[in-house]
Amino acid sequence: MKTKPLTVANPTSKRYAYRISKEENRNQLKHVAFANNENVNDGDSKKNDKQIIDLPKKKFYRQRAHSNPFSDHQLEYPISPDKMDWSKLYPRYYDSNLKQMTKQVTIADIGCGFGGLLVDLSPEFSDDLILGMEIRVQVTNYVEDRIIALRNNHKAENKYQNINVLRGNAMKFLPNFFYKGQLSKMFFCFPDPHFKQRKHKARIITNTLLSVYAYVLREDGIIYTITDVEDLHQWMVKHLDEHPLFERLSKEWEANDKCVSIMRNSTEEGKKVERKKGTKYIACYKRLPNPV
Amino acid sequence: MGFIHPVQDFVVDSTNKQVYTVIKNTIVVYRCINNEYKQVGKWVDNFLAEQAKKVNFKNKKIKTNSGESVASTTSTTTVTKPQLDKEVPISESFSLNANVRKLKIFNKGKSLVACTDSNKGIVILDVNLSSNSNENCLSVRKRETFAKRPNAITLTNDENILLVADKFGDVYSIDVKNDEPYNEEVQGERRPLLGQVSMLTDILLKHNIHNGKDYVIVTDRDEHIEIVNYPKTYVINNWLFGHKEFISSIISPNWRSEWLLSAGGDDCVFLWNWETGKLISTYNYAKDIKLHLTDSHLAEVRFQNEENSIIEYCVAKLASLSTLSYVAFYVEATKLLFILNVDPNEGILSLKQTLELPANIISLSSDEEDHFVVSLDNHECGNKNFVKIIKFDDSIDSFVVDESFSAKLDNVITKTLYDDSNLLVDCIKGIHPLYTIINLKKHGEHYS
Ligand SMILES: C[S@@+](CC[C@H](N)C(=O)[O-])C[C@H]1O[C@@H](n2cnc3c(N)ncnc32)[C@H](O)[C@@H]1O
Repeated sequence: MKTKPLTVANPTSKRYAYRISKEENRNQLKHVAFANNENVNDGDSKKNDKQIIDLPKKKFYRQRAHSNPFSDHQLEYPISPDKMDWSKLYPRYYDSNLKQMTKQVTIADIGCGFGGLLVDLSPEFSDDLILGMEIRVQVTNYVEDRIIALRNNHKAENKYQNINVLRGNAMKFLPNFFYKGQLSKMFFCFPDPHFKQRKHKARIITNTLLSVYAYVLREDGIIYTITDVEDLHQWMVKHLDEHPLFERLSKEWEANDKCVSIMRNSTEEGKKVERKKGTKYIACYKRLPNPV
Repeated sequence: MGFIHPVQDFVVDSTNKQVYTVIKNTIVVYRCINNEYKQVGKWVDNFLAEQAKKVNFKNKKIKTNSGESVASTTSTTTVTKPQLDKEVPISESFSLNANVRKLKIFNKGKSLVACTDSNKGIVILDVNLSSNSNENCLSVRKRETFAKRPNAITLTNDENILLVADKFGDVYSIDVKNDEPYNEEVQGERRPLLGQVSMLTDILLKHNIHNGKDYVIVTDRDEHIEIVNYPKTYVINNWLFGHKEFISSIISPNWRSEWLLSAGGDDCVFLWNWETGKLISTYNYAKDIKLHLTDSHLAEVRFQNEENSIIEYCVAKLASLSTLSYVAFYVEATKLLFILNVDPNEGILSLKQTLELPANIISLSSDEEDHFVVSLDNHECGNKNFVKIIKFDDSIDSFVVDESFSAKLDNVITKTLYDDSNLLVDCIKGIHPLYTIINLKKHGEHYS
């Protein structure tokens, strides 16, 4: 009820026109991806072969900075992981003969924002499927457009096929998407701090939510956290330390882990903090086995 | 004058021959003595009234509740609108919602526990089973207050710990044996045992007889049934997926402890093996309920279409019998009690029968002697039909209302309460909201 849907936005505005054109791209390219997959070569996809798509511009995707994770009645999510159709997100990893995915998502970027981490992780983890989860519609659209453009513009090398984004509330519906122990890495990069005491439950790391993350993470799976808000860092460390299923990884481990250096600099928020010469606090935790 | 407010919750302790009725903010106990029921106890939740007095004392000014018609009939508890705390919306602090809910008997009938909306808390009461008829058999052992309203409660198998599931998605534990209420100022903020970012609607604690471990099962508004180890509640065992709408009620029958039934906004009642996580069967009641739906099931105006044809309904509550393999449920704001036969081997659910009662059902439970017990929205019945006891009649192989037992209870309720001004109402507006479960239904908000 707060923001108007796309279709009734002011049709003369530049942003509207931009969104419409990107939406057309999105629809067309999703279609093309499937067509290629099934080896159907129609005129459309040929035309797109040569077309270079501009990377999306953030200013056309502005939205309220925070969304309310407690009210998301219009979100779409599968009724169970069995019912999740991943083929639309990662068409290259769908085997149309066997009618099943050849890989499962193993890396999740929770609250992925504009998707910088996904883009940088993609070449580093070419054997993994990587999913960004983002609750804001326009931000999700931006990431989708970004991935479409990247896939299209690197078609020859088949790049960026292993990343995608989903609009979803990671605080509520992770178990609807992922099986027990499916993930090997979860990233929490510069999560919203929700400064007000009253809103602490809105924070994405709490002792009760950590049990859910532990459920979707496999043994030895890793939770990565980074923030420039010291108070939030201490909060996350406190809750992770207290949780019996997580154990902090050492500074030496951090220094040798490639994801730590990627996450330090590749997200949009991380870059902002860099420009402002802010401090970045990092904490990484390993998923311990369940007690017997 | 007016009429006695409908009985919102009704629990029968057949072992001790006592029955408990909840009306508004009051619990009234009746005991069967020489084949006659007598009132032997009463507890009134005066939290709001006391709070109001305190506020009044501070402000030296009574804020009257003009415009709200209930004030005149429910005098002491409702004349003031206490400013409990700024976050509580007016509608919640207002006493029409000062209900006592989810009454449970435990400790062999010597204790009671219930949710008290007045303080967003719970109350544990001692029941003196050998009190004489002129003393009150109920006394408060302790009350606890929470940050968010408790929605469902259950006890551990040893009955030492009470688990409280709240509106905000957290589950807390309370030491039943300790008479001192939890003090946040001294002991720090309460820490939840487990939690979801979704309103919790029901909770059970179950023992897995095959592996010897205990589990907490919670349901929420977002279609989830979550199964968590107990007491190591940080280990989530699994989720049962299949509901497409909110879940309002779960039960697990005595006669098959690995089975779990669940229902709510969906057209089906689900039967699961919660130990293996497998769905065993479902029963679709949509066809059977159709003719019993009324205008009251039309969706609220803001969720309605132009033809005014959207109807919304849900299962309000499930109950199982202690030895017979039947379960019952009812759809909110209908008179129809469904009784399903549960095949004890295959788990196939089939309709045994439906019973049409004289008024809408507003609560359902069962006792130790294989009775289903219901209370009714009897405000149009003239101080009759408060409660019905439903028994299985072997000779005709079906369930029937035990009319004489039910009438006895109706009589004693009328006789003892007709002059209790707190429990009388003089118009429909004075009746506490009785049909609120459908509000759990999610409606797509607009795009944001
Ligand atoms: C401060 S931004 C950081 C974005 C990105 N990780 C980065 O470092 O640039 C936090 C993001 O988390 C998203 N978010 C907040 N709560 C969420 C939830 N429950 N599920 C998914 N995303 C969420 C917000 O919409 C926002 O885009």
